[in-house]
Amino acid sequence: MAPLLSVSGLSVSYGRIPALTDVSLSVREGEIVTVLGANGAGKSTLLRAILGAVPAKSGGIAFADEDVTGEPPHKRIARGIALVPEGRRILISLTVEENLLLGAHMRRDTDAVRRETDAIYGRFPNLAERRHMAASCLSGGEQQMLAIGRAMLAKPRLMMLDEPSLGLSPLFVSKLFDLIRELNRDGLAILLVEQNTGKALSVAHQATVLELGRVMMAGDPKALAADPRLQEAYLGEGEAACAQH
Amino acid sequence: MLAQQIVNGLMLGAIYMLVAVAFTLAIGVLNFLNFSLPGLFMVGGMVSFGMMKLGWPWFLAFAVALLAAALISLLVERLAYRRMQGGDPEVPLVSSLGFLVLLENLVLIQYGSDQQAFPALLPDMNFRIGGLVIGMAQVLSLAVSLALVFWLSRFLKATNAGRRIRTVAESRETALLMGIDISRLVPQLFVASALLAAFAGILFAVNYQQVSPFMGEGVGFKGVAAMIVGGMGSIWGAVLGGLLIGLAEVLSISFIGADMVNITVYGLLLLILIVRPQGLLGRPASREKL
Repeated sequence: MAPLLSVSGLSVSYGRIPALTDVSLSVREGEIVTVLGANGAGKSTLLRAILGAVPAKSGGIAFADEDVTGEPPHKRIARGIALVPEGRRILISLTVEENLLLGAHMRRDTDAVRRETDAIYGRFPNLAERRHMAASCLSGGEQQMLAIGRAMLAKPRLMMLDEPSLGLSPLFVSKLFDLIRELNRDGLAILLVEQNTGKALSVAHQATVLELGRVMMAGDPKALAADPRLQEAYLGEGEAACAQH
Repeated sequence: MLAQQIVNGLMLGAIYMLVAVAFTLAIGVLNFLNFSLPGLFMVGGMVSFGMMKLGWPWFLAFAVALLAAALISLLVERLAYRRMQGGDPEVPLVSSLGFLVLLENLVLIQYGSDQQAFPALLPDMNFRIGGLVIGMAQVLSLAVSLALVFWLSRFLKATNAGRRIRTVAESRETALLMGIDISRLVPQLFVASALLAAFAGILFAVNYQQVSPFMGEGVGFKGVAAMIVGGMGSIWGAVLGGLLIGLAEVLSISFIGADMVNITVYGLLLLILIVRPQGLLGRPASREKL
């Protein structure tokens, strides 16, 4: 069976600066795939390209056996790809509930949306309590739950999360990874971009490491976790970043 | 006498209010001060006039006027807004101002520059409450304008389309990632604000029974002023600002004199802005819009 998502030979550039070069990756139904790499490795660009928010310069993206390479984001989201963006991108001029319902803005099955919204409130009681408050009142962790709830309401088959653990307390980070596992167990395929390498490798079925826009390593997460090159990929960049401070 | 002037002021204010809401929709969501809107206000009045002169019934004449305004606004979007997106924000402002002058002069060629008498549609239907004389046209216009704004506010709050518009107003980038088709939404917003402006022009023609190619200019200025005094991007601010300017104008004409009207109206606005630069209902610190 063909994978749910398959990215083949994808290259993306911003102006003349290449951001991704010849990246291939696939996500099968029911799988969690993680994409790792240092800052600037092209992880976010990869997710944005899969969503259609940045154009592919070459290569192709197929979702559920259909070529979606030239499609704009709203068509791909309607097909079942949803993004939980980096920095969560909660709208502060909307209430918590309005933010949540924004995820369902293309859906016409209002009764089902209502039921699913209630289910999300059941899962995140903090959001239920604050449903009519401005979304800016939420803590970082709550905003992350809201962003995930919003993506769930789009009824995706593939959920992409861009550094969801960034800026969260350790307690919320473990809650978040529990949630990712739960969503996956319920049948959702997940493409996870993370800085928290250890956590990400512990939940993933497949992992890909990007370096300067190219696939450096890919395969079994356990094997990657033990690979000294992974440590180098991070430590090398990490030291460089620290030296600048 | 005072009560009568307040009624008249609210009526005039309702027209400013619709124009201010049209401006606030364009600036709140698109960040675009669309100076073709006073032209579309005029198109509402003048096309209605022209069609009725040809013998069309008033409702068809109004429909043609609204349709014309909608189509022109799509042209404005194509030619004055979309093509100027890459440049400075002032560029579409000037190009939309160009549309205003173009529209005025096209209408002038057809109908001349004189003021024309607009036929009375609701003649002699006056309510008398105590000493107050309230025209049928006045009551209907005020009620319809307020209902329209209430509906618009509800629409923005409680529908998927409304949430999409408010998302674009706050962040186009987030809107893109949420799958909002901005290239479809922008022309829709142009049409919506054009319809508001043209409808205000029709109401003006019906109530004051006069139209001219330049009828949009004074109203347009006051509409922009109403929007700014109310707080840019806020619908209820536009309502408040519009009604306030209408009241100030009518009251200063009857109590201070017609020569002083612009001095008192704009003096008041200046005073409000000195005390509250963000406008009456504007919120400078947050990015709250609509």
